[in-house]
Amino acid sequence: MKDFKYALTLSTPVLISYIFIGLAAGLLFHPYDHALLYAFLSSLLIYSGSIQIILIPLLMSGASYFTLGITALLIGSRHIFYGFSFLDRYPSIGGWKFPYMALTMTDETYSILATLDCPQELDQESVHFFVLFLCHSIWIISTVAGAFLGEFLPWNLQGIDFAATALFALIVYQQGQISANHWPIFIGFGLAISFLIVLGPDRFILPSLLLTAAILYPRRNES
Amino acid sequence: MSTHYILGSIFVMAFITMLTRGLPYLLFRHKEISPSLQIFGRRLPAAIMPILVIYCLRNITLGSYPYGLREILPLLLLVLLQKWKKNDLLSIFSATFFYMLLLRI
Repeated sequence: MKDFKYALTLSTPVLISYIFIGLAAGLLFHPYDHALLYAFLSSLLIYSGSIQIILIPLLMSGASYFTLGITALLIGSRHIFYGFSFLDRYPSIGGWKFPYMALTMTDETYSILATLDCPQELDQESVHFFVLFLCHSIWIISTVAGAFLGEFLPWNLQGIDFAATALFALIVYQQGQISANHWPIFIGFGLAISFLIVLGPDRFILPSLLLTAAILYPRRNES
Repeated sequence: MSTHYILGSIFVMAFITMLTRGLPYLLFRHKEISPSLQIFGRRLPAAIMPILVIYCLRNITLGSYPYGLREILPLLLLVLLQKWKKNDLLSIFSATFFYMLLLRI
């Protein structure tokens, strides 16, 4: 119970922003038959706002499965790097919880969990599990609600996705406060900005991540 | 659009997304996790977070009106509020609200 409460407190900023971003993402399915089913399945199985939001325009253009797959790979490539921070912990969790936890890692849950310093008296694994489960559940519920409500949504939500930007920026700020070593932050900013200028907004993220990973990987004499 | 096509598309994108999330585990799960790999995993977050921030801000234009101020001012508010009140929720949602306000004026 203590684990759950702690997980709930940790997830609150993400839960609130997922409610609104989920409503907005679900809204896109509203015009179609079986909108609720599509919203439910895509949130359950894809569970990535950036991919789900691009899915509808791609469908409208009649994109092939190949194009859809490549698009998901390019947009989702950043997810590949998240697993590395939990490799030494998650696989030892038995049963269905390990694949579930590995496959529900998003930008937002990663930003909470990868920088988490869990209090000693709590069970780290169940805190992680509850955070992932709560965020996934609220995402599914909100997108289905969005698909159901459609244009009856009472508010104009444009700009609500800035909550994710603010969350990431806050975590960078907090990392800067707690760690004595600031060079990973500078490498991340420096490379991302350089590649953004050179390659433009659609192509910069993968090279930034790859080069960052190559630089951060410990040399032989460090380990 | 046929139901088959939509469902098929959802499954294709789901499969690829799961593959990206699962890849490190597929590659290294049954191997000894070397100390280097462990250090690597711990170092990554601090560098990935700034990349995600830039990813979120990738479409702003600094060279012409509004000079990225719609994003920069809310982020300044975020840092100042966090310094002052140290309340994550308050900082995040004040900045978001401020951003939404700036979008509308």
